[in-house]
Amino acid sequence: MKKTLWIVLAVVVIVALMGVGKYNQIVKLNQGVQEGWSQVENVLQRRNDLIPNLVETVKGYAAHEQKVFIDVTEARAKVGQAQTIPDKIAANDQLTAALGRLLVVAENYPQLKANENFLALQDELAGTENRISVERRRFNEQVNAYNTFAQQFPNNIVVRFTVFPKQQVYFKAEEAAKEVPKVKF
Amino acid sequence: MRFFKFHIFPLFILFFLGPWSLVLSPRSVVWALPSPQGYVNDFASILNQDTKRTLENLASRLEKETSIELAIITVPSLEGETVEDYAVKLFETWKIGKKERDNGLLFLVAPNERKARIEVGYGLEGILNDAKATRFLRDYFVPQAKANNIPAGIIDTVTALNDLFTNPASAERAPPKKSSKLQSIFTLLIILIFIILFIRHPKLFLAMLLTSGSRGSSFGGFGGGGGFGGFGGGSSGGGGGSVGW
Repeated sequence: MKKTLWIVLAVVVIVALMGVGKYNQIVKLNQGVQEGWSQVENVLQRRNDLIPNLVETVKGYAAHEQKVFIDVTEARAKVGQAQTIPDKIAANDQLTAALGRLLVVAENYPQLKANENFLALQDELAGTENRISVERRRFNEQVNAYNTFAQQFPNNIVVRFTVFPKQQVYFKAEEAAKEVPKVKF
Repeated sequence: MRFFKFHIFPLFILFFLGPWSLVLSPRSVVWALPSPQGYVNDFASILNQDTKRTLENLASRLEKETSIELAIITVPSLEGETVEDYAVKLFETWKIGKKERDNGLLFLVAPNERKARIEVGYGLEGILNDAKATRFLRDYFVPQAKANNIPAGIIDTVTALNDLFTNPASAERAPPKKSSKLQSIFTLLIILIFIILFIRHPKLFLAMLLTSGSRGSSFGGFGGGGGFGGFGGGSSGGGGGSVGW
């Protein structure tokens, strides 16, 4: 009887220790996801900061294209309002599309396209779009590591006892939206 | 009890630990990329010896003066990737730039796709922003490339980059070597340990010398460029500029 008690106790202790190890692992992976996301937010913010300048420059040559400017400004405001990660992702996708339309409009103004300032802003925007795609990929890799870990047995049981989500959301790029702002020379 | 201890228990541990190895494997998938051969990596074979030497000298001078690591790469194919994706993956794999400063630069030229890119490490983005990187390519590289003179374009661009970073007005200067004192003490300590080892256990010392000798050859094996010692662990985040011609 006493023997069985010891065995049960040993098993309980071992399982508890395993649980602690798993928990720490989840904490670490979750941290990776958070860090990845903060990098994504950095580059998204960078793009947001570029927009007023870009809009002003384009306005100087194409003042009557009101709709595009309103679209971009509204999309930018929505990005600022979004709170959760999925909301932010959706708002940014809209902004990407609006920016794409802005650049398409700009194509129609040869004088604008020859403007040094516009050229520089366009390069910065193209660079920022690239940064977004890089950081998004890295973020998705972190999410993938987390999700894979959290789904595996027995980790899935441990996750259920914690505050961490069972799954983290990927930042998927809309392929069409991703292509538009690419600048051609 | 005995059965539990010696048979179930190891299995139990294996059962729990097994999946870890899968999760903890390196995060990014990288196709078979060649390893760096120096500052200049002419995989597309478009540069002659003189050009290579000029570029090696420029890059090694840049590293000596500013600690910036510049990798110049030509590739025969981008393997179907965009030049941006290819550059960032190459940067990730080679880890160009000093680890704590992220001051790496990658200049990638894909002559067959007619694409070029300068990828800028995190630490240099302040001096070489995306607009400037693109303008450098457009001003120094594209005209030469259009005239079918890619090597000259590479030299012009690298020279311009060198001027930008070695210009005293630019913020990026060689860091004062704070660790040099500590490092020399450390080196002395190691030498001391070896001397003691040699006196106390000459046989062990000899054995160590022999085993380490076989490893030594793979380290810094190319001296042609004036002291390329491998890249230092820097990273980039997609900053820089690209052009086509």
